Amino acid sequence: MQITTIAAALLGLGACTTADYADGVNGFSQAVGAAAALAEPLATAAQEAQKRQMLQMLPKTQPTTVSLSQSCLGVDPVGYHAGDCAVTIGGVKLNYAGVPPNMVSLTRYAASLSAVVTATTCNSVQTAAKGLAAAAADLASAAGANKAAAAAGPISTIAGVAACSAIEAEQIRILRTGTMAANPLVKAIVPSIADAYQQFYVDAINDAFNQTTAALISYQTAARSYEKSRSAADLAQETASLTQADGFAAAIDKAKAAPQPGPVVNKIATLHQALTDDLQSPTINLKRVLNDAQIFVTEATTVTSAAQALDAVINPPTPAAKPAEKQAR
Amino acid sequence: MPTAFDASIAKSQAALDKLHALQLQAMSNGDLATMNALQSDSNDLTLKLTQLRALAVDDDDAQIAALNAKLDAVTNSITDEMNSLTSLATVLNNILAVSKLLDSIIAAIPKG
Repeated sequence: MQITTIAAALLGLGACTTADYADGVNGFSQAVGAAAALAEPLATAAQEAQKRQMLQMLPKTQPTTVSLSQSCLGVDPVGYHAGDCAVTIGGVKLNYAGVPPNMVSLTRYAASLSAVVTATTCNSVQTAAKGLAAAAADLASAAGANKAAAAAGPISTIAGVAACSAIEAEQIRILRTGTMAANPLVKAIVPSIADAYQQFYVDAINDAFNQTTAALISYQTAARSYEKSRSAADLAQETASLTQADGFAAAIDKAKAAPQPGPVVNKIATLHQALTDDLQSPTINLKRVLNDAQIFVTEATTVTSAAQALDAVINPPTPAAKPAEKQAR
Repeated sequence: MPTAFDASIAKSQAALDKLHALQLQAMSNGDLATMNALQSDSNDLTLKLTQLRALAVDDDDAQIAALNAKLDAVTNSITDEMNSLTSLATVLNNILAVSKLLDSIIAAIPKG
């Protein structure tokens, strides 16, 4: 059976070389990497926004509702995760903005696809196939029990018997079985990742808007004071508040002018579908995948830049402390 | 198919957007007292909606249906206020009702 499959693959792929599919496969991996790079600035912006909002509500907070999470107790590291120990208000962690999207399995899967096309020896192709099968199994776990059960059969075919006499044909067989097995899993997990990104974005924009209006209120208050006082201090406050509001508005503008992270990340599923479909063609041509992947990376980079701008206004860097003045002798 | 909880998130954002629009209107009118009142409510609502979304609740929670109705009341009363400028007290009362309900919903969510 396996010999027949390999023979059929060899006959159908006589004209294919690694160059025909390497760029497309690597393009998909780069797109996944660009999507993963969005997580940090978006999550940080949302977490800092949440912390700022909670601290802002302290005048209305009952001191008895402030505590530490149970995870802070003891020294046993078993089951502990980074971020578990935190100050809580009403049981909610001070900077809790939701579970960060788990891009680990998707990133590992994409890297495993690239590893297949860079493998040049029989041993390395076999290793890459096993790595891809393991990565697909990770994806299946992330996608849930039902999807995992359905994917078990297709995943088991990824690391079949390698035909060492035709490395490129074997690479294509692995890529075909791997993407076919993973496609329903990618479709299953990408929407929840996209939702998490989108919510971080929404939380950050809402907070930036609140800070903008707070700065404008500060401006209005200073302007009224200035009408009566004509003091330089009130005028300076007017200028400072308006400048601050302008900074927030500029960050909101950058975020709203950029594509929204949720819809962008959802395109990973479409891109993977195209990769799966185009790998199935008798004559493989992944130019469409490569082109779409490049467009995706550009979009994701724009979103990352916008998220960093939001992050910067929500969580401004602390100015460096002034050097201590020398004591007068 | 969107759940009642999905609707809550969408209605929450719609209510917050309306509240922000009312803030800008108060700003144009030079009504500093209203701006301050709305700013406090906006901060409060933003924080609680962030927590609601981040913690998530069971979709079959009857309180979510009540929350959705109260969020609609907030949005509708803000629309009335923007047209007539006579129902700010209703807006603030409706936001207070949402805020209290959110407090009880968030308090009941198991936290890790």
